[in-house]
Order: sequence, then C-alpha cells, then structure tokens
Amino acid sequence: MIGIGESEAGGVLVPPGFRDRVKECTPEQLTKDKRCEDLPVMVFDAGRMPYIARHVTMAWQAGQLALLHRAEKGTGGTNRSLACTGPRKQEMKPASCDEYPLASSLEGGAGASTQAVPGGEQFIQGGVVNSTYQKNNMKTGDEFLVVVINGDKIPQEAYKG
Amino acid sequence: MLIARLPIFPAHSQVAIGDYATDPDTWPEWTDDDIAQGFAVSSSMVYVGLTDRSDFVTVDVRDGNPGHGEIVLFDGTLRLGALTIAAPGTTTLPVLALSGTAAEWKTVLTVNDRERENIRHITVYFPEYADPDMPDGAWMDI
Repeated sequence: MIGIGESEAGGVLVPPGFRDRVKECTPEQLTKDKRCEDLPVMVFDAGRMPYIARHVTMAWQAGQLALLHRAEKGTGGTNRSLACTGPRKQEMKPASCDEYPLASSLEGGAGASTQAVPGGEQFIQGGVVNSTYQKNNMKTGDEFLVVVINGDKIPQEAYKG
Repeated sequence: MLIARLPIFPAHSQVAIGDYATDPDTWPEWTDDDIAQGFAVSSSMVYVGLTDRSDFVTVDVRDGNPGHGEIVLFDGTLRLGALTIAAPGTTTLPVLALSGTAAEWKTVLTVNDRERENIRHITVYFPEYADPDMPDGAWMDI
C-alpha cells in the first residue's frame, strides 16, 4: 500500500499498481469530482467510514482488486447474498456485514471479503456508492477505482460492536 | 389511493427515494444526526436507514395524507420530476412520473415501526397528487 500526495495522512491510499491512475488528483478533487481525469473514482473517507476503510485496505492486502467494474443493475442483491450470507449477518449482529469488492461490482459476490462494521458507516457508504455511479453515468462493465483517503484515521483494531 | 407497491431488497442497509435526474452532488450525505434519526434528506432525495437484513421491505406510494396514528418519519418538500425508489446503486428507473420538470412536491414518509430493525413497510405520501374528483377523493370521506 502506498500513499500519494504530500503525506500519507492527507493523501490517497491505493494498491501500488494504481498510483499513476490518481497521482494527478488531490483527495479533495476526488471527493468532489468522483473521478480523476477520465477514470471514475469511488472515495472511501476513513474520517467518515473508518472501519469500512480498514476493511477495504485489508481486502486489498489479501489480494482483492481496487479496480472494479460496475455489475448489471439489479444483480447486487444476488452478489450480496453470496457474500454476506444470512448466517454471516447473524454472526455479526448488531454490526452490519460489509463486503468488498462491492456487491454492485462484477467482482463482488462469492469470494468477497466480509467484515463487521458499524451500521452508520454502511449508510454513508450507500450514499457514496449511489452518487459515484450516478455522477459518472456508469453502465454495466464500466471500470472504477476504489481509493481510501484520510488513511491515518483507519483504526488498528477490528470493530467489536 | 395506492399508486405503486415495490418490494425492495435494501443495499447498504437503506432505501433511496427521490429523483435520479437531479445533481448527485446535492444528494444527502449521512451525518451523525441523520444516522440517529434514521433518515438523511436533501432537496430531491431521501435515504431511509434500515438494519442489515436479508429480506425485502415493501415501499408503497400513495396520494393523500397518512392516516391518524401512522408513524411519520419525514414530512417536508422534495423537488421531483419523477420518483425512483431503489436500493442505492441498483437502478435509477422511475416508478412514477410527477411532472415534466422538477417541481416542489409535499412528501410524507411513514414507517410501520419506530424501531429501525422492525421497519418492513415504508409509505410515500404525495398529498397534492390526490384528485378530489376521483372515486377515492376526499368527498368519499363525508
């Protein structure tokens, strides 16, 4: 994992292979524009979603991809049930089951990483996903890069509920 | 009058109700207060927060006003041209055309239970959509 920008704390976290795809854009630009040049970017702000950001970076380290592709609309529910299964959700209650890659991506579904996160972070993530897809007018198969900002806010410990 | 009934499989523990033709930059961003109250609202979109569930919630769209005793989650105005009800990131297809261009619509959202984990039914009321000349108009209540 590397930081891009003046410091890792204020920079952008992406897996090493994607540094060049966002090096021209600041965290502020990425958050506002939801893209860097012609690449749609989904920004997970660890200041607002610390445990989801933690999950995403851990999933990257475990080999999950940062460059995802939008799945056909309507397939998210199926993907979600393959990753955050009923028993898995039950096990995590009252926390929310987060999955990465996103259920609404072609890479989501069976084999996705799952972790318990606060329900409020799940709400925030939903808003980010919704607006990123719409702002970039994304269609099935369109690629987008997931990045994390404010990486210094990522907690060391897993969410315990 | 029931205008539409949709079974929605929530994503990110929420359902989005609003107009996807509006600028995404204006859509709600959940704050701590929003999370506490169970919904986030902007000029053209409402996110209703639920819990992590594996089944559908039912969302009804009705004209008129909520009945006495219904639990009101949101009572305000949304700027809408068409209404989409969906889990975030799933579809943008409208279920109801309201006006050719976005206009202010009084909107009331009710839920079946005050506890977030028990919400299974959301109703969207558009009081101004009611037609007094229709058989289900207000004169029927006389």
